[in-house]
Amino acid sequence: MSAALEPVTGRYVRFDFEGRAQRVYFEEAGQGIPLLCLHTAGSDTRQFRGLMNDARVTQRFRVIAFDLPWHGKSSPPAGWQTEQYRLTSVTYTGLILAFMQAIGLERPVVMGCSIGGRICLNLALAHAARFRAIVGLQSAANTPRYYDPAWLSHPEVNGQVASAATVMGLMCPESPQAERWETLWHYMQGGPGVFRGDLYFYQIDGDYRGRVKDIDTKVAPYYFLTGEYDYSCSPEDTQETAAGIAGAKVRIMKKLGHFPMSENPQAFIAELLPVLDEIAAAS
Amino acid sequence: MDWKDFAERVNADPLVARQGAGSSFRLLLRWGEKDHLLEVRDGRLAEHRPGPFVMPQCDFALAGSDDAWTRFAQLQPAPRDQDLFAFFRRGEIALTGDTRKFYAHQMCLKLMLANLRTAEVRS
Repeated sequence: MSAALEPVTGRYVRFDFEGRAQRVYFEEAGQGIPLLCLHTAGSDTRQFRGLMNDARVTQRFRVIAFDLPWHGKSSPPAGWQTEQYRLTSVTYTGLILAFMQAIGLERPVVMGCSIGGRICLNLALAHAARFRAIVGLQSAANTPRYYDPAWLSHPEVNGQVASAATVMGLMCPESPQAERWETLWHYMQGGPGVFRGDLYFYQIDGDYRGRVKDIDTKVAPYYFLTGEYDYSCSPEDTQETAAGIAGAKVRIMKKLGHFPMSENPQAFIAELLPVLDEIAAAS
Repeated sequence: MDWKDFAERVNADPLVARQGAGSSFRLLLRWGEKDHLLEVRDGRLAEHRPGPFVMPQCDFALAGSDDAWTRFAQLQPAPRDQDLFAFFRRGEIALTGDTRKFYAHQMCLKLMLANLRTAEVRS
């Protein structure tokens, strides 16, 4: 038998947020410049498994990812059983800053995907000085609603399978099968109503059109990386948002879709390394 | 598009067999001017009837132009032509009928329609 112990470690941190006790799970690997990673709607930190296992990244960067409350191995707050989960711009932003404070993160690079890419825009707008650089994956100021997420949380529909089926076509068909189905497995393990609750932020509350022009990339440089197969946050959506931000840099990634770090980690890391080189050189 | 081969491909597809197990629904697929009624029973494409029909009975329908379905069915679809929802967003394929059934059986449906992707695609 051959075995390989990964360099990834997982821990829990407890902190109060919005007057409620939170128990949040996070993983990390590597050392150097902190790189805080934000997962997509309805998923968790496992999306960054490729990044945390790549020495080209971890020899210079301390890669950290946390499961949002309600997601992955983080708990929902006590009392969850009588409330409907809904992510908002205010709560999401506050959670990220609270997590940073809880584990003592000083001026990390932040990199988020999809809802994580969306909230990166608000972090750039309101808290740019807290970050060394900002990397928005599948990041745009808004996505018009083109489907009804209500059925993703309904007694007559298996929400876990329906959630996976809803996102499966967002990936490049040529991404490795094993990585694509691993990505879908994470969706199949999401809590009931959680993906739908995240989509409240993605489809309705987190609309930053008209505001992104105020992002100052001299405070924190902003990098957009978008996979060409993504029709939810399409290259055109990203380019339209980036066009309104002076100094923003855009990279459209070939043969990648909405989950670049998870659907094809090797192809994604090849796209990310030049960005990390630039950030490291400026640090 | 050889629809007879389509049923054979679907029913030989191990992904449909596993992930689509238990799915039963009746789909009206409107490919341009041509209609196809596809009845799935317990994850198998039990019946395929080509139109035209008078008042076809179905759970839900997917209607798009010949051009839209042809692009969807390419063996290697162009970026953002690889999924039904991409066509929904652009208004090129429309879903009507029982959306609950669509969501409930979406996994089986999408894996089944992936078998449209052959080298030669015509309606």
